[in-house]
Amino acid sequence: MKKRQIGAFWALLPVLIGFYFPVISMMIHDGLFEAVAGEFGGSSSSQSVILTTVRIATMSAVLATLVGLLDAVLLAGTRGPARVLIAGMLLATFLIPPAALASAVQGVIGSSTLRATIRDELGAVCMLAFRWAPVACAMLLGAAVLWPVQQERALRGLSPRVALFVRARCLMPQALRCVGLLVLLLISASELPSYAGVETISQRVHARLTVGDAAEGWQLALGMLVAVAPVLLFLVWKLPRSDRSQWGGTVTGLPRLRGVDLLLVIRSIPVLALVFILAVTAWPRASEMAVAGSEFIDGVVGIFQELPRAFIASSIAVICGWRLADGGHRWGLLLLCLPTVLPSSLGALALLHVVRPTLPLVLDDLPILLTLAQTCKLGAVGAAAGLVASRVIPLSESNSSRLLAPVTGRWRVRFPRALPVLLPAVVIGVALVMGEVEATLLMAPPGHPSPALELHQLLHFRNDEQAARIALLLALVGSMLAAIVVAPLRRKDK
Amino acid sequence: MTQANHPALEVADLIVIRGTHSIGPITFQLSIGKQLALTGGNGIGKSSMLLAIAGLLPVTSGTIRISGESMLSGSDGVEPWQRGISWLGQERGLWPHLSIEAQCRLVARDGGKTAEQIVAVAQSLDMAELIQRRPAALSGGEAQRAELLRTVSGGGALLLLDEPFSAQNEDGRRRIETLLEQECQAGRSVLLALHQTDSERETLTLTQN
Repeated sequence: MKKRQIGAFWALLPVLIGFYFPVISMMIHDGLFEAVAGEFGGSSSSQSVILTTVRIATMSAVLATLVGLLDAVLLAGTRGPARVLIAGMLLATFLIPPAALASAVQGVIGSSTLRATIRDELGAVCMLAFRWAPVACAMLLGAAVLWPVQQERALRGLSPRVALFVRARCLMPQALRCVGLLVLLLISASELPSYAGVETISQRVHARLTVGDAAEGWQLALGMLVAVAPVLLFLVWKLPRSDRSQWGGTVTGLPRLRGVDLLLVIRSIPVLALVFILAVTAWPRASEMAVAGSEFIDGVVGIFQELPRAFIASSIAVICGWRLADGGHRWGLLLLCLPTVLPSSLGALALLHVVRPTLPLVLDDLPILLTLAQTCKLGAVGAAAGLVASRVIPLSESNSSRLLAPVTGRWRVRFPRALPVLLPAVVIGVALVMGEVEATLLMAPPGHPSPALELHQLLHFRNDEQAARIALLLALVGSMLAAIVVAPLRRKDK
Repeated sequence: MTQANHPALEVADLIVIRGTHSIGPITFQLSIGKQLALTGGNGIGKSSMLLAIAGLLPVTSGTIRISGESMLSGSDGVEPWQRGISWLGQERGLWPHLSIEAQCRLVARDGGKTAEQIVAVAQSLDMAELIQRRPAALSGGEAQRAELLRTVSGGGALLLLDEPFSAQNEDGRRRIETLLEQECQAGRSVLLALHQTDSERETLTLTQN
């Protein structure tokens, strides 16, 4: 086996062990292939749920990217007061777990009103777009601030509005890829749509695999893969090489537009409202102060216990994605992306059935399998981060590093250069792991502190106050983490 | 047969395609310890030829031999880092997260110059006081000399230099010329891409035909 292929192989180990091996074993065990031979495609209701899921994911991805593009262009292309605060606030909606977001929305307009006014699919699309717009904004903002200095300076010589349009047009290729990535990530979303009363493929697959017809669950999952295959291919094959290399420098020379400030304030209103609702809900009555205080401390401890695990899962996914992208292993990237498309419960159930019985009992109390499942689930994030990171290094730098021995060039030159893209991706991954419920519900060892699970249970039992406290804490910790990671990078590169 | 019996570089009927533009065929030889300049108008393919020889651009047809060994054997040809070359690109390729000295040491790890030799070369290029700096703290001309310093620090017997004088004043150019002569005397060979003809060295002018 060539060294190049071995390099691709180790980066695929987590996903091979954590997804493909157990899933294929379970597929054979559940008799998928016999079912497929008999009747592939399932009933018309199965096709309908696949179409609904694809429609919701695509519409949400497009809407989230449009909002994110607007945010990114305005934030990157203008100066004004409190921009860091505004950017942090916009990110907060993503750091609040979906259950808390949906609960807060329902708290304001009521679940029955939600059904009556923002009916079904539209409600799901709006909530998903609201939650995921910050990810699109972060990705596009990253691309915008990595503009070469000379190009950035040339833009600052244009009239402000023309410059904003030029920025937006330059970001369009990245925005298209952003839509592709978000479709992959949203295709398996189940929590937010369920609050809007929409059944998605994730829920149907989970139900079929656990209490219904397992073979139909596998058929649905396979159908999902077929439906998103074009998006996967688009993401992996069509990313061009970019010359983006450096921060655009300081705000010097950026135009200031009053209209933009107003627009950003308007854009921040829903976020402010969400934070306000959570804060009001979280604030304890005078008689509950002591209990609320102790619950708050428990929440903090739980989050900080879970953070290192989330960090490990996210880092592994991102490093594997970068390694595959850096080596140009397109098939490897495809393999890494696939688990993201499928419901978390599918991989989790397969791991539980196939791998768990082979593990020593002593490992039962450790969240190893949960971490593995969540690492696999972050495959598309890792692949996207890897693809972007390997393209932001200017060709001249990349060529120079290829004259070094492969390991030296990769880890001493290209990996440190990729960190400005990889670290924010790790933070996004941490936020996703901290808010993940499906796999955690199935695989978390007894007594394992999981803020997402706790939040889910608290909302289930209508303990909204405590749930709001945990949601706010998660947003706060996530924002701090993002600031800690991003701030030194900005200072250094300036 | 020893490598000394072979020219440093033999290029025969080489054709490369950059975008939709076909360049070549081109044939030439470069002897050990000599300098050869490829010249010609803008877009004629000087840089592409250097990139192809370095293994950084796919070759459509033809042969490239460095020290007698074919570089185009196998499915992808010999990897760039295994070709025994050092390469200076037209655009700056300094790695911004490392100081110049750290970059020189990195490329010198596999048979390149020693730390003392790197300092000596830096002095000859008037860079001795700048090698602790990172690229962002250098001017355009300094960055170009710093990258040349990094290129020369590597162990490659063949230096491929794309427009190495483009950001230099008279003093800078003279220093680089002197350094290249010293490297040739030490047994290295130099292939340059220049946008104007040069009386200092043998020249091969590329034309459309």
